[in-house]
Amino acid sequence: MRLITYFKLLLSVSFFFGMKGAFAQDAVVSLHLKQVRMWEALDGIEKQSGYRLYYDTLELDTTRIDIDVDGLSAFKALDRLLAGGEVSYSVDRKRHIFIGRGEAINTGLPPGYFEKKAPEKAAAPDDTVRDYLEDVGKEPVSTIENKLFVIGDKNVVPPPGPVHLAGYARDAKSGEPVVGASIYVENPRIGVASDQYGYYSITLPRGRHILNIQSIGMRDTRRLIMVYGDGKLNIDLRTQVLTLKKVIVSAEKASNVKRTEMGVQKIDIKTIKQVPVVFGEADVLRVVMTMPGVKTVGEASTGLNVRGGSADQNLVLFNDATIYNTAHFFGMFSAFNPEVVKDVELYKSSIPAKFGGRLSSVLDINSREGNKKEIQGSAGIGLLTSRLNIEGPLVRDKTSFILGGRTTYANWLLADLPSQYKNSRASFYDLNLNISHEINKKNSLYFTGYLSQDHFNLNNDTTYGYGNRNLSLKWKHIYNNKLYMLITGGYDRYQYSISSRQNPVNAYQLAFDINQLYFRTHFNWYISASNTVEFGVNTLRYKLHPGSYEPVGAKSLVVPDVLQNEQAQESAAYVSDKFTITNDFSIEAGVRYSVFNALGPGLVNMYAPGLPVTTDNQLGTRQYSSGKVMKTYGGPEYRISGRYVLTDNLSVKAGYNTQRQYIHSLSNTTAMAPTDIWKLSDPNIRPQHGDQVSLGLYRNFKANTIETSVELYYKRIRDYLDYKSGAQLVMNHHIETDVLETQGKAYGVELLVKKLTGKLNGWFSYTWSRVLLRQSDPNAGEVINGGNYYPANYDKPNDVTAVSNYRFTHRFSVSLNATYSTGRPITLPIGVFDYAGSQRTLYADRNAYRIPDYFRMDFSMNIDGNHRIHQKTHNSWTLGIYNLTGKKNPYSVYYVSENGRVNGYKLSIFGSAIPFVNFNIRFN
Amino acid sequence: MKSVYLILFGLLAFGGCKDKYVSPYKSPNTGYLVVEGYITGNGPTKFVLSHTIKLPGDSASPPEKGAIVSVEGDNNSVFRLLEQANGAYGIDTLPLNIGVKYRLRIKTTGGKEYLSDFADYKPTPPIDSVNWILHPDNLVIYANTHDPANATKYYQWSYDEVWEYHAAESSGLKYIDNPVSVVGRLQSEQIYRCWESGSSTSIIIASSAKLSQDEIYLHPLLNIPVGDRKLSVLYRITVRQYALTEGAYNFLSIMQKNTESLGSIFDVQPSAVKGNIHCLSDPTEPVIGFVSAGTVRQEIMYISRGQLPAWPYYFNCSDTDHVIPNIKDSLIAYFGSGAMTPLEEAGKGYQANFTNCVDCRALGGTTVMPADWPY
Repeated sequence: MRLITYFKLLLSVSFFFGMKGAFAQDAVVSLHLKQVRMWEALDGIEKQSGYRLYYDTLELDTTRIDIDVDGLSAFKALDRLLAGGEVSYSVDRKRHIFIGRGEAINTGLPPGYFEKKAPEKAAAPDDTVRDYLEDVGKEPVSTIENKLFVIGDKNVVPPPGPVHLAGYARDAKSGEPVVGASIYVENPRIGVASDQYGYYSITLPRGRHILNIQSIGMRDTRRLIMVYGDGKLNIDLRTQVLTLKKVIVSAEKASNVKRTEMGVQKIDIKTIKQVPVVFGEADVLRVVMTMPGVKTVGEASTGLNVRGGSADQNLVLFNDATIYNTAHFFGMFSAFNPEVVKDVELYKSSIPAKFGGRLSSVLDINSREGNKKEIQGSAGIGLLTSRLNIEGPLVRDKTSFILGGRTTYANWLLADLPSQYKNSRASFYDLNLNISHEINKKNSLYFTGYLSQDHFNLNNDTTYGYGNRNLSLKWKHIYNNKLYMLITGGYDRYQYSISSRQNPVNAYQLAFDINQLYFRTHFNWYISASNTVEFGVNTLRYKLHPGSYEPVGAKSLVVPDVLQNEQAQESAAYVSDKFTITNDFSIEAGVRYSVFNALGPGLVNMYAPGLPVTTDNQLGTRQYSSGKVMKTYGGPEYRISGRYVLTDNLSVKAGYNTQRQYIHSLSNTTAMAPTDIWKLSDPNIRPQHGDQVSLGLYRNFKANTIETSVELYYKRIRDYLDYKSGAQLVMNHHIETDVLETQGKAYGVELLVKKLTGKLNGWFSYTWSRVLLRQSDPNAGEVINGGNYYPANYDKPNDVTAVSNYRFTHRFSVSLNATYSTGRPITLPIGVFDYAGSQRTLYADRNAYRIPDYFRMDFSMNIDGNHRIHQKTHNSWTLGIYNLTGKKNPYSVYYVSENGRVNGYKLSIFGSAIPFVNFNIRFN
Repeated sequence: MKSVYLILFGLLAFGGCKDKYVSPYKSPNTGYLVVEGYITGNGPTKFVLSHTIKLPGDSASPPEKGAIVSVEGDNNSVFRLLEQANGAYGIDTLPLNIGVKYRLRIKTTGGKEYLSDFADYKPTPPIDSVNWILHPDNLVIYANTHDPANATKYYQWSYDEVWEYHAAESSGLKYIDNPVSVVGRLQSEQIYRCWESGSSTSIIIASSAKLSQDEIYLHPLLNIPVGDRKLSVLYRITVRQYALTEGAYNFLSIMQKNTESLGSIFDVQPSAVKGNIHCLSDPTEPVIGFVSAGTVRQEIMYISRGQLPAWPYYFNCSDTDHVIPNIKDSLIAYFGSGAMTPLEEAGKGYQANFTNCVDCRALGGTTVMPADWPY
């Protein structure tokens, strides 16, 4: 700790003299040494020059050097000796030379150190942000906690007010960004968190600070900084290899108490991987479903029902790309490769103004950036799927890639089908490629490519196929520490096709696809520590091929039938401001104005006003030419939330938001089916509209290690599409005659207790909620359930989930989760009659009954191989049992006529405890 | 989507399953009128009036008796149907005309009046053929038809089937209890040849609306699992073909989805079916049924065992013959109890076997030969 002593000395010296060191005369130094250590050379300079040299031998180069100087000044000799190294020196008036790592120590005090006001004669403030890192030429890895980083130019007379420090927090080993790292100083209390790019921006008063950096899974670190002006500081964090005996969590941690947003859940992949799921492969969406307010209709569905929203009311973004079908293999797997995913963020209440176009939630899935330092990979083998993932630098420290692939070999499972189906096949694969490239410190590019495909085939007859295709490119430009910009462009596609060739006369292929091209700009402007503004413009061009039904083979008599294409432009501009009024009270308010133009070419069916929309009431058609606006919808959407801190660990938040949705999924099945089609709003189908008020109370316990929250919400839904009895949704040229606009309301209470640190971690969530729909307009053609409110398919009032993980050692942990929910509503027959030679069921009101309640418990063990860092491979096993109690949870209840009689059945997807095993390997 | 759930049965290997469900909910009293029939001029017209009953449907559906049922044409013709047994109303022939629309009017004894919408009288094209294809696991019977006028588009079929089957062993003797003895069996008392009959229990419809020609090719009517008794000797199917309107087709199609195609993971939710019959006395009262009119075409096909040499039908009779001594107590014990039936004389006793191997009626058939059975 000699350096610290010198530092104190330096300060006292500076205090007395208060001026910059400058010397006119020097003794001459002549040295001719070979293969000596640095300190031996410095010793020689000290003896000959008469200067007193202060240094820490630990900071000096340990290599032996040659020095050959003749009649030079002490400074020239030092310049030569220290050239190219990271060590520099400074001198004070008493002929002391201070040698140390990093920027030269200023032996005087900066102007304005004692007064807050800038001197009268202040030079015009320098707009260019002085970049500490640029000064040194090579970007140093700031891994030394005791080094003083000088930010800003001490010689430039600074403008008044605080300064902005920004930079990236990165993993020192892989160079990947560290998201959500807490970066703070203790006095005064100022803290920020790094964003999804690892980027942070903090506003500090001038002077010396200790910058503390904490992030889960990373070793806590700190930086000594001397702040004169705006600057950049990149921070490399070391991975936490060993679990600590005790976990110290700072009160400054970005906690749910402090953030303004409400109804936001963020889960990182580490947590996701701990949760046992069927077939043992970590599943992003299944873990999201354990969050309060998120429900699903059953095991064979990855559709999320968030706060009473239908599955199509979620905007699922994978690195900015919209994923239309999130299911693989009959909904048993979700479409996201867990090896590529970094974290998932679900917004169910305060939806940021930058997002829009769906009513109930935004699920923002971020993928990892590849390792920037070295090539590494991982592979996993499970019972049904395998995955392989390779990542590494393309240009070291600049460009990295991550390539992930997943495939299935489930056909062995299908071999047990009844013999007439033994030729059936089902498979899927998906591929991810992400490339991130740092052009320079101010510009970065991110590329995302995603491809998924599912196939299944029944006895070589009907073949189903569907897939997502996504490409996106994002440019991040940092103007200065206060302002950055994101420009994103991309293309999303979802397609499916069904074909059948068994009967040559009827052989057909049915195809559907949706394409969208988008362009988004987003600006983030940190005006001050208490004021951050985001604004931007989005535009999205849709092109749908809503259906084509074509003959296959020469014998087919199928008449080609193609529904007319649909196209539209959806645009929005938004601005939102996160404003801290006092330390305790902050508000985030935003407005998004969205406009939707249904565009020609198109032939629009016209219906008699005031009469039910039926083919009988069709008056005629109207032709629109290409590019012509057929109908415009739009309006403002408001996003407001506020937070008031009652005590240090207790806060109350409230929010209101409105949403508009211009695209509808058409499905009269309970689960999201691979054959669901999407429909754009048009002159006959209005957009959906929703608004929500919510109120929440947040309380943390035990030094923020336990987060608890209670949130209440009430939501109104307008013009949500439901279906007339017996609606024909596929290949319908007048779909508007088969749908109904319903009005809905949803409300509920959500309770969450969460502990993400410590040996025992996990969460407990409870939700009580309802979602009710109503169609009471007799003019719509059909009144459902007598015009009364009826529960939506996914209305499951009680929902309790507990997810827990206990780490026995850092190589062995067990997870247990349990979930209980009310059975979903179902339409059951109310009677029986005889028709066409058989008893048949009589149906009346929709969703008037419920399937039996759901309960499931899962268990898994995660066993890691040894943790020695320097070995080629690291492996781990996951063993577990899904549905531990073997309960037969009915997925559906139905009645079917068989041999003249009506029989009722319960269909369970998993009727017993299902063991699974998964092997994962990581290699360098 | 029915097929999707079939593949899901693959997951049964993983413990997925289908269990009997008994609804804990009490089903309400409905008692809605159910009307089923087809107005035709080239065969008997028959309508059956019944009522909806409570789930699970283990009681009989109460017939609507004593109603006045008539067919009305839009040319003001009126034909009264005569009441038959069990809520059936019918007439052997009706002088109907193509181009006239017909409807059904029902007046119940309870004073309620029901009227259907007018239905086009559609000429049904003849059945081109009824044939069968043997697959590894089943034999499928198909219908083929086409309409050169491209006017029919929507079709429905129903069928009756009769099949002959035999007991494992033929008995020439019979037991009588007064006096206790075994005597010769008359040909009229034979219990070796039996006949069973059945008729369609599912909705069989097809449409050529999406095709360039009005042709239905190989539309499956029924599956017979390989080894089924139906094809053990001689099988006859009588297929009737009806032309439907689009509305009738949609009605049946929804009913089919609601009652036959459920059970997949991507089930279409069942919905209320609306027919074309309305209660005039109380317009809100639901009435089940769709009245259609047209000619009826019929086709008969036989399948004999000779056409299916490898049909693996085995009468499940594992016991070998026994010899029952001609002693009164033995006769009473073995034959009088009905456990065994004598086959032929064997020395001082009778060769016999268990009755279920000898009496074909044990499997549910009748020994009465259908009137027009070929041999």
